[in-house]
Amino acid sequence: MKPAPFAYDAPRETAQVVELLAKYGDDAKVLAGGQSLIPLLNFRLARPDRLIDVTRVPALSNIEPRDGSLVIAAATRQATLERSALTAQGWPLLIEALRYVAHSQIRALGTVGGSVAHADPAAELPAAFMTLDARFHLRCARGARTVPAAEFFVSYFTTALEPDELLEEIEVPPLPGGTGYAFVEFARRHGDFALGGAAALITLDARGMCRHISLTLLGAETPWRSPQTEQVLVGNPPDEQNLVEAAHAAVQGFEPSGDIHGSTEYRIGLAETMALRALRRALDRAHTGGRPT
Amino acid sequence: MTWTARLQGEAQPQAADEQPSLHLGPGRVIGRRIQRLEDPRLLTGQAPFVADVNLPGMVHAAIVRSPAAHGYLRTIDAAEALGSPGVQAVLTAKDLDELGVGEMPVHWLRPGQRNVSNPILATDKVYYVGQPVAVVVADDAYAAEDAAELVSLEIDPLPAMVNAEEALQPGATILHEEWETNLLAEHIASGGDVDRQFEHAEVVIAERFQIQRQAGMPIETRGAAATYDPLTGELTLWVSTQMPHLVKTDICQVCGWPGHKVRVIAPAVGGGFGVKEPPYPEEIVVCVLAKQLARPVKWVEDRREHFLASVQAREMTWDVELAADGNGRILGLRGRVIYDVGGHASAQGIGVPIVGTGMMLGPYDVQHMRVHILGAVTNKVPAGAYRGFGRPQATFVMERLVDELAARLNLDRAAVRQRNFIAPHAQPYRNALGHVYDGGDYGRTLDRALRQIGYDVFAARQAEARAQGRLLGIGFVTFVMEAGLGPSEQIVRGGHMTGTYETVLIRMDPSGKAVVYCGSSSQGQGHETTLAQVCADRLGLDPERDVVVVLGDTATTPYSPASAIGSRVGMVGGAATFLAADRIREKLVKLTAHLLEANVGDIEISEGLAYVQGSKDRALTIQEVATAACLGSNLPDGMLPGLEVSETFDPPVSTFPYATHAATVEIDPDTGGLTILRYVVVQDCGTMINPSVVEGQIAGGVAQGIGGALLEQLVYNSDGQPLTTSFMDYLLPTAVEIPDIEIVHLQTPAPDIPGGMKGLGEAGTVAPAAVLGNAVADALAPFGIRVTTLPLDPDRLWRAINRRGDGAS
Repeated sequence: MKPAPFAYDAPRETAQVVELLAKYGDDAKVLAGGQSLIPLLNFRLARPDRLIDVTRVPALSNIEPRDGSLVIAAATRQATLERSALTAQGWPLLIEALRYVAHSQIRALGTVGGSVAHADPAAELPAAFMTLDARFHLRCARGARTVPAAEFFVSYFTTALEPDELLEEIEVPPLPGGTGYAFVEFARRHGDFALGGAAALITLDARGMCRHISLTLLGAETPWRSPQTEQVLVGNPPDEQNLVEAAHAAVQGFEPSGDIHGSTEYRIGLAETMALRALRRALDRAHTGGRPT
Repeated sequence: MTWTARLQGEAQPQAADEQPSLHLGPGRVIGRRIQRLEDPRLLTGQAPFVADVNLPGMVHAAIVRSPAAHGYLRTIDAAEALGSPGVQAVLTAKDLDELGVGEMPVHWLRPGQRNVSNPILATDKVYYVGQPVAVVVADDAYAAEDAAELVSLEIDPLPAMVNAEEALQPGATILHEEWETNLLAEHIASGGDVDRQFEHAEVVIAERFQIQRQAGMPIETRGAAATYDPLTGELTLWVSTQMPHLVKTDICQVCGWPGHKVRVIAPAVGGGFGVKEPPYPEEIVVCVLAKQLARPVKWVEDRREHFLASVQAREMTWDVELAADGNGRILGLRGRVIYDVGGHASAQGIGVPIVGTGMMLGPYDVQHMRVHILGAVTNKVPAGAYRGFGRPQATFVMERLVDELAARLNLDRAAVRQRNFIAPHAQPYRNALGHVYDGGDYGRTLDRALRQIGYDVFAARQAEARAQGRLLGIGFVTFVMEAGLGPSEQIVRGGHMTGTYETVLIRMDPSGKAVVYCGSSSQGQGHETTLAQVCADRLGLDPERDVVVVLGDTATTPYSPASAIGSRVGMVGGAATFLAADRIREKLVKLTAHLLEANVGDIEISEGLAYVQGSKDRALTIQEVATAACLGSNLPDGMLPGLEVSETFDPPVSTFPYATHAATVEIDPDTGGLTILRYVVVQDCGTMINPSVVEGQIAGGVAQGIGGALLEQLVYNSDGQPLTTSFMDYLLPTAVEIPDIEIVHLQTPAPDIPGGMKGLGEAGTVAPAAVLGNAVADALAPFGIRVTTLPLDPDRLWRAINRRGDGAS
């Protein structure tokens, strides 16, 4: 379990990262926290010629408010986001999701952008960002562009990132006041990749009807944002019967792949349970003004 | 993880916690909760492991392993690898043959067994993914791994056989063609007239049980480092093993080297659990290379290799029947077990199912059984020892049958057990297979465990929970195991080609301090502490200040054929230490009597003093007596100078520790997730040398048992490719999954063992799968589910509850 030989760059400026990516493209791989990439290298399942370490670039490790949004620079450590007061205040869903990301030692090294760019189908942060309608700011020598979450995740371990592109920042828009949130998941052991999980947001209107719903399941090819769930609930009362129906609607078309830890059939059943539990918890919080319960 | 312990004294009601800190003497140090002497070194990272052995000029080996599960090995092309930077050598089976190196011996032999040794490196065929084929040596481990990739193997693939039951069907692909069968060996464990019992049985429970492949998974992988001195012809090997002396014996036998020129050292070893019981091919190869290259050679297994090349365990399929009368009295057990051996015999042959089946009737007074044991080869990693050694499987099978019997007759599960237990007054009891138990009160452990866990109020709680849609269950199991095997004569006659005695040498120099040399090694069990306590106890010394224990080095310790296996070091090594220390004490007493001009019968030894009973002013320090003994002048007539004693203890019998485990669980019907609410152990392991060490052993064993019941499974696809080659897929339990373990002790000293200890190390692993299987069956009783297959993972439980597919049954 020793990696094949590789060259290593540790630039200090984003511009240098972009230059190196332009120069080496497919032959290079961005190294962030290394919590997935290093094991892949050690198993020799990945063997890039060159690693570009982005964790030495100060501008890529930062959390700040911008026009009401939360902006997370891509190489920010997951533990930093988890302990961010700004995030806790406005986007507590992210913190609830992070508690399920592996273990504290891994979150101390793992980065927010690394998880997003790696796009593991069972990962928590992609599902959370999908639920929050996050926007991903990408940069390369050819210019910059912004991709919404719904278009960023393409397939298993595949995103909209081009070989010469760097994920620079993640922008999370503000939530309406009183939005209830929840992230729930079930794994064989705490910290394992989830067998099933769901992220939910519920905003109620003045009459107590569902004004805005966002529900994402994890574990399929890409984070599975269910439009059917939104259709079932928006404009309707969030009673138990509607929540059950919405959770059931959520798994229509949801296709997780089975493996040695759980069959597809089980994972669909579990996803429905997770969806219902996330909706119930988000609703409880919507009733208490979006405060953590 | 934490655990609570209560001590219920039986023969020696010594509440160890209450001992004054300085009160040393016979009977006062054994049983005391001192802190483990090895821990400061281990916990601060100061203890050296094999990976820490670094010598000038050392080169590193990487193993080229078969990528195919089954096939003819046609050619090995190492030309490119030899040209790779830093490469010193590439070794194949052909080279070993030219050097006159033989094959790895199998240590456990049955009549008619089809292989008694195995090639070190593959010759003409490969039998499993991971089998060693060639070895690349380079200046560093990176260069070695880079070059290992360049060794090109031409293998003509053959269909893989991954199911032991199918392997025994007519027309199955044959692995070892010269055998004309896939049956490695078989054995019939039989006693009484079981068929006759079935003729008049009122109830017969017939069931099929499947236990999955697991492995011990020590935190430290295997490793070996060797150096050879061409001037003296001496070879030294550092190896992560449970059996340094047996590794040495095998090296000498396989390589034809003389024993006095080979030294094997087991330094600090990070867990063994049976995985490091057998000598392995890599250990031989490293020695051969060190000699050939005249440079130190090191190989440290990585975790992926560990999943491909270290023994795996537990996989068995049982078809069994239990006969009983209408009152739940068990009459007999019969059936068949197919053991998945893997690609070829490991050192243990089919010993695992033989040992498991041997005590299958456990605490029950049943004199009729017949189990046909078949060991079949498959294209998987060879199977061998894992803590518990067949007993967890046999206990799962037997105890599930007993619960099903109770359910069939609508009887209370505890009552059925009590009805069948061997009565304490019937001890010593000879079981159906001829094992003679050494005493114990099984019913008492069950009563105590059920009281601890609140069995009498559980049914009401369960009914209340069910009304709310919650699934609670309770399970309990009482077992007896054979531990610390002996005597050697009987063990060798049973096919295990090593004795089971232990020799301990104790040296005292003029300082009056003692060094205990024992040929066993330690993989974290606390042997340095427990043997020091036994020695200190007999000699009136302080175990922390006055005694050092030396283990695991063949150059300094007495020969130990069995070493740290079979739950035996505390019991057999402890007994040998007990006897050796007593002989030193005898000499100290005689010499003191002589020096003080007193009667031998009046001399006492305690607290570092030798004195005349009743008049402590007539005293010498142990140091003064030891100085006199070592000086060699003014000795009584006939006494030789020196204080050095070696004692060999060959256990006249095995010991039979027993326990009851009980657990309550809750299952989430919507996720299939299982939570263990409480876990209780009531254990009798005879005299406890150190209750804290006993509790650590029980807790660790229970944790491994829980892992095997709920989480761990080694999976192969139909091509024989392993799908679980990292800890991402092979799920070990962590502290989060393990509940507090509540431990209650009983102490019935072993009658035939000096010190009274019974083997303990494996005991914790034996019951958890059975306990949790019974608890799950109880929780899911409303669904009419039979729990027969492990692991009890959430998918399986969810499908059972939601009536999809094959579920738990």
